[in-house]
Amino acid sequence: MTTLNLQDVQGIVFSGYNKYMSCSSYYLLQINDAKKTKAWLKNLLDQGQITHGEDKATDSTENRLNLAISYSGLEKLQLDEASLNSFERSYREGMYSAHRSTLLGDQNGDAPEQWLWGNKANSVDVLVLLFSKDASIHAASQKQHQAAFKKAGLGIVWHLDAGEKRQDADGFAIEHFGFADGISDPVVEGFPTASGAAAIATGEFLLGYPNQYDGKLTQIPISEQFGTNGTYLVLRQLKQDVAAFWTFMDEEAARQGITADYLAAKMVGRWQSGALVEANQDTDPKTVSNDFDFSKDPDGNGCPFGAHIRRANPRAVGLGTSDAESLTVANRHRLLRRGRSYGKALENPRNDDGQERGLVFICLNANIERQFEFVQHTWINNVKFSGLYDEDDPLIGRVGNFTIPEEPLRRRVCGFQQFVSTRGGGYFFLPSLSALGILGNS
Amino acid sequence: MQQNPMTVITAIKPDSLQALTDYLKPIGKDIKKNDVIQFSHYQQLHYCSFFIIPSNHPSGNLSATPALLVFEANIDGEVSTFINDLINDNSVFMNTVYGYCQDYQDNAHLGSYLLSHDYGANAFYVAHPGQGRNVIYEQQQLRKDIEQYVDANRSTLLEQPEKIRETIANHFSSTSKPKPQPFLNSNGDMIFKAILAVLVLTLLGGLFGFLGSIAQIIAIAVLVLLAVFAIVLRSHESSDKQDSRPWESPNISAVQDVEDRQLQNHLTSVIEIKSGFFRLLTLKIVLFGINLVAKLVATKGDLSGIVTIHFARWVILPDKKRLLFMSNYDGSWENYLGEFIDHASQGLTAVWTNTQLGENRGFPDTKWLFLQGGSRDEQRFKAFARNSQLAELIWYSAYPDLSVKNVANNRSSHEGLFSSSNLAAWLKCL
Repeated sequence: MTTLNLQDVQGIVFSGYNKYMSCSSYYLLQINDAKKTKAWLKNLLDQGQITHGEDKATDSTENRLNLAISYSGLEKLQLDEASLNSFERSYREGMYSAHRSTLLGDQNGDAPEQWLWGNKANSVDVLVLLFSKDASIHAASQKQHQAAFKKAGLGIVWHLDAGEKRQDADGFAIEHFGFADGISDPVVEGFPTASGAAAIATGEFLLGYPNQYDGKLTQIPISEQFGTNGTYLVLRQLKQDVAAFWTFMDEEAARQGITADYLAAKMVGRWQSGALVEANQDTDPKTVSNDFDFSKDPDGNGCPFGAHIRRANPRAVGLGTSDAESLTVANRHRLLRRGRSYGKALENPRNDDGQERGLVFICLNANIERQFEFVQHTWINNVKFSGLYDEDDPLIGRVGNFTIPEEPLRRRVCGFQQFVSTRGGGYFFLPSLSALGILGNS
Repeated sequence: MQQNPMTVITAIKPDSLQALTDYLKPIGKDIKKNDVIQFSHYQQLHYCSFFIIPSNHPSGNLSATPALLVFEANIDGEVSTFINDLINDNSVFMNTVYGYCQDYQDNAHLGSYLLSHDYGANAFYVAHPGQGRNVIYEQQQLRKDIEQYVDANRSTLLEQPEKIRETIANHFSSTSKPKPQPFLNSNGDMIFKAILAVLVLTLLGGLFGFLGSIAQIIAIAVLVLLAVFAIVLRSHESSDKQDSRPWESPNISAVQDVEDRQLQNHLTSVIEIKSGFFRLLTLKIVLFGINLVAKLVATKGDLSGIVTIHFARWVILPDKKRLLFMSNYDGSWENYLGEFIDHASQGLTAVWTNTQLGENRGFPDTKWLFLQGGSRDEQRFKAFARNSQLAELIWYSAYPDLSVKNVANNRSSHEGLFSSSNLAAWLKCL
């Protein structure tokens, strides 16, 4: 059993604060005066403003704050070269770099040159995640922190406000297309939130602990003292075109003689309630569960191979010669998601209002290449995923075809549109509190 | 038609290294449209690559040896036919390239020069033995035609499975029957098991004296040899030093630049064999075993659970000091290395545990050749593999848009037009 020093780990690792914090903002900052920034960092720590794992929220908790730093941020904070080189390659190169953006499929309209932030022209050094209990507290907190950024020599490159929280009866967030989200968070060894048997080793999400490969340690940057209890944070601003999504579902469903809800469910892999799509279902059974591993659906007659959730985590089918082997492999590529939606919900999902909305995709992982990038490249964007020919993720992919296995003959959507596009993004390091202390005092 | 490995390795004239690089690189950058050579013209060619092994790779230990040019090709039929086709068809390219190499004479002697420098492979894996390049092309076209026919006629096709097959087969009745697969594809597995059984039985029978006293002496000698081997192995393993700077990646951007640009990738690794007779011998035995498995067991697009390799080979370089590994695979480098660890860590460790990046920079610590450690040490192994890699100057794939699974599925789609057994599985291929 792994025992964690919860006081040293930033709180966002254990929780997205969805229960008590209804507002959140994401500040993407540029360091203009490293000396001032260090003083600001030290001050945040001294005042206990950075939320850690021991600091549990209650009804009276007003704010939460967490902080992550990009590679350029560490450069500006004047780490020496050997220290900088000890971070993993993808982080050093950055999400916008040519190789990484090819891997992630950020091309053409999604290319970094088109981004609002996080590219070469608008590079980001520090990410501040602010959470508050309600709108008025949040407004006050934003004002106070924005003033503090100014004094700390931090310029605001961009900022995103999470939209009004939409939740279903089970407490799951509802994303803009209308689907319950965040149902399949991994259960991690040693996490205070873990209930039941932990499936994933601590070292997959926190540096300095055994990972899923024979209990080895994932590369710890700089030193044990600095790197332990830190992790990498991936942030992507993903714009969702809700009206285009549902209009396409309507038109394609009419062509195929099926319902839009059925088609959308097959593409996502879950019905809007979050219930898994199973064979011979025409409507949403509204029984949400994460207790499945696809072994009862080896041919994809329920949840198609190309469906979003099957690509994002293929579980027990297709990655090995047995269910158990496949599951072992799948569990070496898990992500801990901590994002929220931004922008207002679209009132009539068939009718565009010209407003931008989408997902602040945030995930945590100990190894960006083996976890986030792998999932994105080898599963989500892979046109050959699971023996397919020319398909892409029908929910968040670009353009491709989509096969729906059915008895006796498959159905095929020839050419779906792109509904989600990348507007910005970056790789960050989420340091432990002691590492923030080292940086603040350096 | 059998697939064969060609590995032509020639020493580059010391003053020609830059000129040769400058000649090959632009071709590699524009493999489809360059006006020097069109590899797609050679109908027996599946994959080929040109790359240079610098004299100081992976360490400076061999700096006295010249840089080497490697021309790797995976082809249908004989190597000599391919070489002749190349020289006859594009003598300018061939003579220019080999004009930069030592011992080259002229066009008339080029064929025998290349053949005498072909080192083939110590172990060679083919995903789909017997599937010629043209067959792969034809079956891809057929699968596409069937797919379009089903898309256009799905609603009228929806009947009993037998009826669906009949309708589709009738529509494609002019298609010729697929050639049967090579004998070893379906029977190699059994032959392999039979060989193992005979070996074990002979050893046991000999040991207990059922096969006479001479056999008994031989059996005992074999066991003693095995025990000695194990002791020597363990003594090597406990004194070998793994790379202690595993996280430090040297400048690999040259490799990364030619990687992950399309669906398939090519991997080139050159690594030092640990010094001494024992490691070279062990390596040769392991490669012999892997080659046997590749020929007999791994004949269905699946190399011990890895389903993304089209062709792969291991070649011990002529100086016997370095080991070359080349592979044409689907998907990203990260995925490929992951699959090695997830599915094939034993075979891979048994090979690479005999190698090092340089003095005291060995493969991750291994116990009992392959049983423990080695490539299971994920990050250390990935760093080791990364540091052994070279960027190729030219890489050609005859079917860059097809995965190993696609090729197999195309064949099944074709076969199903002529057979109604396993009907449900066939319908899923479409």
